[in-house]
Amino acid sequence: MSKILRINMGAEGGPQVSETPLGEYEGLGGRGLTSAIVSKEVPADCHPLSGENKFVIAPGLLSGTYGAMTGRISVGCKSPLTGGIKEANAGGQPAQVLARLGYAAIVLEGKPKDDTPYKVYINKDGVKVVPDNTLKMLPNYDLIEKMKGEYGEKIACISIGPAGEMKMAAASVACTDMELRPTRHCGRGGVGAVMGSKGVKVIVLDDTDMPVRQAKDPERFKEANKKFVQGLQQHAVTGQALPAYGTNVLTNIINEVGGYPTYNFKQGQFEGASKISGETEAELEKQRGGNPTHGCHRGCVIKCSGIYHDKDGNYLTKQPEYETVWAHGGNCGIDDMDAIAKMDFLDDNYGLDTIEMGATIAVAMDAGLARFGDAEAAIRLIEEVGKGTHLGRILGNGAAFTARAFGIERAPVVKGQALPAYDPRAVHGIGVTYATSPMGADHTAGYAVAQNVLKVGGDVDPLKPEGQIELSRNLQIATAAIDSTGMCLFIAFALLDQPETFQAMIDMLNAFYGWNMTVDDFIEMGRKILKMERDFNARAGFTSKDDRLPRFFKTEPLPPHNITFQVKDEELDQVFNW
Amino acid sequence: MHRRIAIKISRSGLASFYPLLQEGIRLSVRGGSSVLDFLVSGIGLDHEEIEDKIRSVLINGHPVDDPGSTILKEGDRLALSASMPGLVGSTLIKGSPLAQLRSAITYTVDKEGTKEEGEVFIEVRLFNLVMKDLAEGFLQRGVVLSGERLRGILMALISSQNLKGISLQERDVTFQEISQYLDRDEELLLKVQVLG
Repeated sequence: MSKILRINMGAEGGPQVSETPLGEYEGLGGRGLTSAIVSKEVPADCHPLSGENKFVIAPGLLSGTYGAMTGRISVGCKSPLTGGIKEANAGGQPAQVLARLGYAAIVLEGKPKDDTPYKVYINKDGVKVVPDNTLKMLPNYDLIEKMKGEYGEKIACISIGPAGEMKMAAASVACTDMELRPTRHCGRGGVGAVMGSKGVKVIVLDDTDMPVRQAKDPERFKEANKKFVQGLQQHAVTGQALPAYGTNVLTNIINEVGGYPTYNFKQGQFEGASKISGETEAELEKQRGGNPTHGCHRGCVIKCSGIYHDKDGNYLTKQPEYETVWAHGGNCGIDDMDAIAKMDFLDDNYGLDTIEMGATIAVAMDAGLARFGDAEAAIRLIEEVGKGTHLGRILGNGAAFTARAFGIERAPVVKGQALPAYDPRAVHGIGVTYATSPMGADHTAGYAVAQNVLKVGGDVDPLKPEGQIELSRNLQIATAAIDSTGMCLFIAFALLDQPETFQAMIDMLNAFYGWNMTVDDFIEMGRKILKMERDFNARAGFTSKDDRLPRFFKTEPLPPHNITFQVKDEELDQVFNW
Repeated sequence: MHRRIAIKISRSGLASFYPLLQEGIRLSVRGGSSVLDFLVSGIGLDHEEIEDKIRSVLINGHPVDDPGSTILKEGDRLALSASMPGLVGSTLIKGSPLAQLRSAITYTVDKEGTKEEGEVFIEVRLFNLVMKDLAEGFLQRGVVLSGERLRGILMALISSQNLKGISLQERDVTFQEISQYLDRDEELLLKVQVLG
C-alpha cells in the first residue's frame, strides 16, 4: 500500500492511468489521506462537479491486514451538498481488496468530454479503464449482477447508481459486502455525484493471488490484534447489544428520552417507535429466516449488521440501520418496518444516502407532497428520484434544496446536510458537533471516545457548562484519527471503557508499520486532519456563521421536554479555538 | 382489586411479550421506594446484576444518574436499558463521563419531595438486553394490562404452541372460559410462570 493510482478521466485521447508514490502523504490512510489530498490538490473555490475537483478513495492504514474491524474505506472530495470538504466512509469488502492490491488511494481526476460511463478493473496485472454504454443508468443491484457475470464472484465493487449518474447531491457511493451485494454506502455529502461527474460507474477490484498485507513485526501485531478482539468481545456494546440488535437498538431509548426527531423535527417522541425498534426488527428477521447478527466485511467481530427478509422469506435488503429506520420511519411518521426496509433497498439500488432521503421526504411531507405516515407515498417519492423525473431531480438534491424549491422554512440541515437521528434540543452536546463539524451535520463526527481515556486536550470536568464544548472538540479529534485507521468507528465503545483496548489498537499500528506512536501522536494525527479540513472550508468561504444549527432549534421547544437548543453562538465558536 | 390471571408458558413464548415490554407494563411498587429499592426488593435483582445489566435508567424520559436517591412516584414511567452504542447512547449511561452533553434532560432528584405511603402504580418499559434477560422476573411478579392486550398475547402464545396453562383466580380454566374477561374494558393482573 505504497502507491497512489491516479486516473485522469479528462485526458486527451481518453482516460490516462498513472501511479505515483505516496510521498508527502506517507503515514496517512482513510480520512487522513482523502482530506490531505483534497485539501492540498483541489482548489477550494472550484465547482464540486468540475474537472478541478478530485474524487479520492482510500482504505484505512490497517485495511488488507489480518487485523479485526479494518474494513472501512473512505471517499473524499469537495461536496456538492455542503460546498465544503467531505469524507464519507463505509464497510464492505473494497477496503481490504484495494489495500491488498497495493494502493493507498485511487484518485479520479479531470472530467470526461461526454457522458459515456466507464468501468475500471484492477487486478494483479494492472488497471483497465473501459467505456461501456450498457451500464448507463443501471441500478446498483443490476450493475453488480452484470459485473459478477463478467468478472466472477471473487471481486469487490465500488459503484454509483442512477442518482450518482444524474449528479444528485444526495447520491451515495456503494461498496459491496461479503455476499457481493451493494449494501454498504459512503452515504453523506453527495459523494456519488462527484464519482458520477468523473464518468466512472463502477470500480471492480480483484485481489486474486495478492497476499495479505504483512506487519513489520508479525508476532507483536498478532498479539495486539488478539487483545483488541478480546476487548471488543468482552464489552457490553460491541460484544452484546450490537450483535443482538444492530444500531437500531437505539430507537427505543432515544425515543424514550424525547430525542427522536419525529414529523420533520416537530416532536421528540414517536408513538410507533416500538413497532420499528431494533428489538422488533431482530425478532422479525429471525422469524422470517433472515439474520440479525451478520458482519459487513471479513474480519468484523462485532457483526452489527443483518439480513432482512420480506414476508415471503426472500431477501429484501440488509438490516436497515438506526439512522435509516429513523429517517424513513419516525421522521416521516411511518411505523411499517417492511416499508422502511423497502425504502432502504431502493436507496441502495438507486445509490442514495438514506439519511438525506428520509429527511428530504419529511420536508416534502411538510410541503404537502405526501401525508405524514403514508408509506406508499414515501416509496413513490424515492422512485421519482430513481427515474429522474423533474420532481425526483429536486428531491434527489436533498432536504435543503427541496425546502427551497417548495418554500418550506423548516429545513433541518447544517452546511446544507441533513441532521441525523438525534434531536440536539434534547441532547445539546450532539448539537455542538452537528453545528461545528467541517462535514456538516454528522452524528459520526464526534463519537464516544471519552477524554478521560484519551486525555485529549487535558482533563475536562464534564459537569462544568463549558464541558460540552471541550468534549465535542475532543471527540471530533479522536474520531478523525480513528477514521484514518480503516477501523470501524464502533470500536470506540470498547475504547471508551477499556484503556487496554485502546492501547491494543495503537500497538497494532506500531507493530504493523514499525512506528513508536503514542496516544498523544494518535491524537495529534486527528487534530492535523481536522485542521486541514477546517482550512479547506475557510478557503471555500465558510465562516463561523456556517457553524450554526437552523434557527428553529433555538426558538421552537421540542415536546415532550419542551426545551430548545441553548448553547450560545460564542460557545460554538470556541470549539475550534485551539 | 384486579382480577387475577396466571399463565404457564414455555421459554420461547417470552418473545410474545416483547412488544408489550417495550411499550410498557404497569405494576405496583411500595410507596417511597427508590428505583434501586424496587429493583432489589421488588424484582429480586442483586446489586451486581443491576450494575452489570442495567446501564441506563430513565424516569419520565429523564436520564437518572443515581437510582438509589430517585424515588418512584404514582404514575412514573421507568425505562431500563443495557449499554447503548453511539455518542447519545453513551451519554445516557448512569453517571456517564459524557453526562454533560445531555444535561438539559438529566433527572433532578427532588430532595424536598414527600414520600408516598402504601402502594403506588408505575409503568415500566424494558428495552434490548434488559428485556431479554429480565423479562421473566418482571412477568413472574405480576403486571397489570388491559384485557384486549392480553387477548393478543394469548392468541400469539396459542398459535406458537407456547401456552401451557391458564388459571383465573387460582382456578385452572380454558382460554374460552376467560375469553369473556378479555373483551371487557377492564384491567387484569397477569402473572407468568416460565417452564423449562
